[in-house]
Amino acid sequence: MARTMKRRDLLASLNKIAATSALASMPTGKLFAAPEDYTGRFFVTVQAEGAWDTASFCDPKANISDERIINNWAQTADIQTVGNLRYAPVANNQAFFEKHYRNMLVINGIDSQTNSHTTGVLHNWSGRNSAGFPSLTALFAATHAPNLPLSYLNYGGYAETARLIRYTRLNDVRALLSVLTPNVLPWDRESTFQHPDMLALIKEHQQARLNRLRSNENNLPRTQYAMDAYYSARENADGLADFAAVIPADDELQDNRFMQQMQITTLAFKAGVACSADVVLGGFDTHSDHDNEQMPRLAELTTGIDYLWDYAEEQGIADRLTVLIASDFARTPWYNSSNGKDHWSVGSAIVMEKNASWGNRMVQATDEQQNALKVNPASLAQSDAGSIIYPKHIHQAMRNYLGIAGGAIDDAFPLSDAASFSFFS
Amino acid sequence: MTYTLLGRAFSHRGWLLALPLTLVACGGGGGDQPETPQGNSGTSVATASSMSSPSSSPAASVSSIGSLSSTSEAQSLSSLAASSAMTSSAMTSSAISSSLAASSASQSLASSSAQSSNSQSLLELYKTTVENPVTQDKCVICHRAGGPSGHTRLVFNTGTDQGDSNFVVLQNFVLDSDAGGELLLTKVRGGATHQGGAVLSGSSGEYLALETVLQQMQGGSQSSAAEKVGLFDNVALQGYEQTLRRAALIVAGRLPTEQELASVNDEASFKQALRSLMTGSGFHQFLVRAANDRLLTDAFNQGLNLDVLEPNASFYPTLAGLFVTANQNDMRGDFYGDFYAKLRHGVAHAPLELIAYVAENDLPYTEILTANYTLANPQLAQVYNADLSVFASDDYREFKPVQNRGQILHNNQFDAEFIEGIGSVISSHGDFVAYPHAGILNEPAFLNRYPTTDTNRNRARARWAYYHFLGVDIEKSAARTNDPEALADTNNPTLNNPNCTVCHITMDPVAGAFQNYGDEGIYRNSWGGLDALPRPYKQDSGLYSQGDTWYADMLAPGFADITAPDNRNSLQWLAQQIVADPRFNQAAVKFWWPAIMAEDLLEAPEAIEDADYQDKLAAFDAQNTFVLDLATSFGAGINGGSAHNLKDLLVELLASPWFRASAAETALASSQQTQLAGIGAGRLLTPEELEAKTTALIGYAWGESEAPWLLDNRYTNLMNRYLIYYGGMDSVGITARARELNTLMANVALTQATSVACGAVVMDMNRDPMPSIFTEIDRYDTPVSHEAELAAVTGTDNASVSIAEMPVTLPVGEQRISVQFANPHWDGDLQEGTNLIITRLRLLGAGGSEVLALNGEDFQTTEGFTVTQNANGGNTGSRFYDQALARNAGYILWNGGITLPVSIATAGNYTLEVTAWRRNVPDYPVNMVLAVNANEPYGANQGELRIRQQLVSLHNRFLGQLLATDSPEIDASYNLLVDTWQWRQANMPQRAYDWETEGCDIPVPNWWQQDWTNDLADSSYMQGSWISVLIYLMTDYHYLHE
Repeated sequence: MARTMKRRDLLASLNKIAATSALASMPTGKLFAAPEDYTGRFFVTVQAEGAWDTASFCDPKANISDERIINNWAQTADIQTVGNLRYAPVANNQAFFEKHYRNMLVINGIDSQTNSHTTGVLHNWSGRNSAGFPSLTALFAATHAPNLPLSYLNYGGYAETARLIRYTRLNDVRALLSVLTPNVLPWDRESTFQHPDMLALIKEHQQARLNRLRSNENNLPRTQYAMDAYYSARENADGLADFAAVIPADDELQDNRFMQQMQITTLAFKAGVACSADVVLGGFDTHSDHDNEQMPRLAELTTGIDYLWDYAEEQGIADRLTVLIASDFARTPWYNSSNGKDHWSVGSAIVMEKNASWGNRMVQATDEQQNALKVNPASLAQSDAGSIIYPKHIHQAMRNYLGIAGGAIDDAFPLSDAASFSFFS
Repeated sequence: MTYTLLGRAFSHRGWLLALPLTLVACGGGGGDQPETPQGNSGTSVATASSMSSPSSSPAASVSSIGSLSSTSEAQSLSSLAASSAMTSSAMTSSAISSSLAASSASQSLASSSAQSSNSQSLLELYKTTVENPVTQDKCVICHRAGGPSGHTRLVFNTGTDQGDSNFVVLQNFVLDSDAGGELLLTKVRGGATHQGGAVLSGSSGEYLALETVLQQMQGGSQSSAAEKVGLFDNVALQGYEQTLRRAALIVAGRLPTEQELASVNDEASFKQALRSLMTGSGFHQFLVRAANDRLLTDAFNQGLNLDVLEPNASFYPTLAGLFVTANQNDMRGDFYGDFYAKLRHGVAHAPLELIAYVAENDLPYTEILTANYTLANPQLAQVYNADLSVFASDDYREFKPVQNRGQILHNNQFDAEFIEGIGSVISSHGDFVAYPHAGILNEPAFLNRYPTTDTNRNRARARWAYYHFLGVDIEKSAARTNDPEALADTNNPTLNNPNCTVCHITMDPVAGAFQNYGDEGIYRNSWGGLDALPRPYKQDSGLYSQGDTWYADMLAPGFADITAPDNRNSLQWLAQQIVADPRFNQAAVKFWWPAIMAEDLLEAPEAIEDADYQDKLAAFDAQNTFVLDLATSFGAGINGGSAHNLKDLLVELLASPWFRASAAETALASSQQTQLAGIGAGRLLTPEELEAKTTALIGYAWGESEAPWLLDNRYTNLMNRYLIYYGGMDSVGITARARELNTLMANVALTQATSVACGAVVMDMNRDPMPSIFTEIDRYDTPVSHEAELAAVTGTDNASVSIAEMPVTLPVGEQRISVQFANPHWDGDLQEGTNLIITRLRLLGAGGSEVLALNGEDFQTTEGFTVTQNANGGNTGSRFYDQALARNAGYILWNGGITLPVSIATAGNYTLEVTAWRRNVPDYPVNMVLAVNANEPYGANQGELRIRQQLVSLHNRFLGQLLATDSPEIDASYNLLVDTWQWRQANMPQRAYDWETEGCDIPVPNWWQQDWTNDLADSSYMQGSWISVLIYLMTDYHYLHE
């Protein structure tokens, strides 16, 4: 007895579906469209949640005589340099900067224009301080590979999609395998709940029905959007098996959650199921005991990013990876009464890419007390005739660089009066 | 009670007492974004002048209001003739200058005279319709000199008889910039980052009056109100029954009963039925879950450390004592795994249970803040030294109202020794604190969820108190440009720097009201027990004075401009202030909106340059109007009910078009498409709701099993494994729910369906006494059956045969008679299987005439006879002849079945009679399935009709769709069933699932060690087919969305 469904049986079933009177108007979409073979870039944002201390990281500040102490470490140590970059001699900064400086663009002096976390996150990750714009990551995924099964990964932080695309959270890798292969028996991965041919038949009927539902002209917008989202979600699901194939064994998973985000993201990229991701690390909001609380976070941050590059290299995708690292804003260039540092609106961003022509570049738009300075957008040199760097400038430059600008999606979310800074030229 | 006015008045939305006009320069923080980079204004009149264009005449600086000279009047009229702006003979000098600046002096006096009466009437219109109800009642509380918005371009005069001057202020604002009127109309509805939020509803009389004045001021004359399309115009609402179903699933975690559905026939009975849903454990879980979605205190059950009741600490002697005893008895693991885990649950859920308690007992919702008690489970009650006799058991899920009398202070009566590995051994302590309960506000979980620091000084608590209980997001006040240099201010900026005071003037008094609670939320935790101030502040700041309970360099504890009268109970006092504020009612609507709608309330759009700004503003305005109206009713008592009744509020939300909007009756304009985004049906069920729905339908949850390692001893896949993947939250790292399906979530839904479908079908088909899902068919009805029936075979030879008869109505034409061995069974111990021996088969006409009569041993020689084949291609039956007993002849089936053709010449009633006996495995039941079938499906035979009825039932119960048996969607579902049925016949053994290649998860412990032969037997291939249909339905859009 034949145990596999014959193609002609499937066709016969589909013919019956088509014969149903209500299905006469069924759109003839690719119901089993395979995920596109994505060969473009991968984009990761690293969101340091809570506002990092750039003065102890990529925009190091020495103390100034007769002024409040900016950094305790500066009492006994000097600012370090490598290539054209400067860094503070704390945490794991030295190892990180010396290893990666050629692949780093550091932009110091981004004025987020707020001291509110909510607004800072909104501003730095969407490009403006009014709600409604998607994250850069969402824009990237929606522009370049919206049909990948998990195109946009998010582990927290700012993840507004503006309904351009859905994001996916991957929190428990150990539980992921069953979800990636929904028909496989958890207790016997050689067998399935439904015979695969049978499930394929059900899926055909499911998508046909959903297509009928979403073709109803009377649908309200919410219903329509939800139906469309579900339709594309199911249509793009088949590629998940490729992801399942690269999920490592438990003992090969990173224990550190931040590094695990990097690991799974890299594997998702490699499997061709995702193209962008927001990875997050919290704990930077150090209003008290700053040095003891902030430095371990900075170390964890750089260790995780270093791991991302190493692992991406190991998996063969490092050449296609672009990383943007930033935070809500920065911390005050002084300590409060609890040895903490409060909110400071002028911060930094770092862009990383392997062998980038713009690597080993630092845009220095802060003074010695971390106030924002104007820079010439073309030369990137400090200039009173220039402009303060705002998040919108970073976003406009990133949109240009990442191939987002100029498309319909980009046009729908215009950044107002964003001068063009030559960060990447 | 005596209130003390603070030195600075502020109101976020204008419900506070208006202070007398203050004619001093604004030094406080503004509520609005400055529209122009200008300095603070001076007097109110000077402010008006400052808003003039640079070409304003020197007269703009005149700072007094007086009667006009004839010259100035002429100038005024001249200007009005050119601009369409209107003024009056009562205009101020400065106003005239402004008007001049905005007009051309070359216009004719005759023309201006013609408009003079218009201008007069416009002024009068303003004064009679706008000045008092809008300007004075809504605007000047912030937009006045010295007020929170005193630095903006719009600064009015306060008090009576200010209509003339305020008219000019308004006019200048409108005419001084492009689309000034439009901007103002936007701002009053909450748009364009209006820091005062929405002060007028777009459909209110006040708004329409203002709109009229502004339009005329700008030269227009027609109100656009008549042209507006209502948000719900041409939108159909769901009917009562469908709404009741959705509501039941969401707020009660079940389907409505037939009686509940039948009780609904009009709006009143509909609302009554909705209200009747609000009882029982499902409603309780809804309340707790929804409350946690906002308060997030379940985080303490998800890994967040519970510092406020930490066993090593010594503020709760009972807890400390239990911990010490456990350690001394080497029972630390048990302590943490059992008692403390339950205690932690008690603490984490206390605020949630308080809300549930208030709602379920129809208590005023205000008690969530004013309750002088808490809710505790037995473990928490024990630590609180409460009366444990109120508990029926030690079940940690049982919560009762108690008071916290378990905390002590660390004062001179306190003596304890901390022993490493043992805990705090308390040898003496003073009286237990009479904890000054203030509802949720000082629930330890709430305080600990938003811990504070020496520099944060309870501001996070204040922020969230405002957010949850007043509906005000203070952080949004900071969503405006900050000058970094201003942030460098060291002169106590939160008190003095406008960049900071914009938030802190609101936040800090409330932060102060939390003064008695330390970083983790412990009451007066500083040494001595007199305050909760940090040691560095008290010792090093130089600001502390003996007896202080709050920081001297912050605003005094209070609420808005009222100072708390007594430091000892400032939080209880704050609770009373909050619940008396109209914003508390609005906050209640906002708090519960996402739980019902699965969407956040719309935010007022901020970027006026966005293309869809007006549409978003209209949507926000409509929603905000609904919220305000409902809040007002909630405060007074909805539909004559008691004030602040949460059930009534929930009913109104469920009965509203915001929940029930279901379809467009005509094509929607693009603007309406934008406005309706996120509204109405199409709500993705949360993991919890989906699990409740599945449980209600099939009787159990996916993967449900006992779990001794979990507190509730219950594991399910959706709650314990895939919660986050399906868009749930953990209240710690993930604090917002996913509201739309992504690919991974779709896969979770598919995983659930493939996992439970087999078990659900098999359990239900064999449910005793009746199936609850498959109520319209039995498992032997097939797409071709005219009739099918199960018959027991008990006879053991030809002398004691069993004779089964089945009536059947048949049409004319070729049919097939089928006899299937329903439950072949192999006995491993006996090493033999049951056999069915058919000795005779007859089809009798209505009068008993034989249409067909065959002996079993003759079957295989009859033309058209078929017998099933096994996987190896061999027949599953054969002609039978017992050598020892010749009369025992027939046709033997080891499994499978036979079919025989029969031609029906006359349609009518027939009887199929089958004679058979059984052998082997004594006492094991043997059953056969008799059927008369059509040759092909789609013949509208009885089986198809029943199956269609069953599909209608399934679509109704699983998807909430009311369909006819011949509807296109039932056609589609029927097609799927036929396809799968035919495929299984061609490819699968006669079992519900093929255990060689497929799996079945039956929710019975160790079920595979039991005999499931009868249950899993599928001689008609229908169980397997229904499994496929169930997967189809359980992954349907309408299954996952309500």
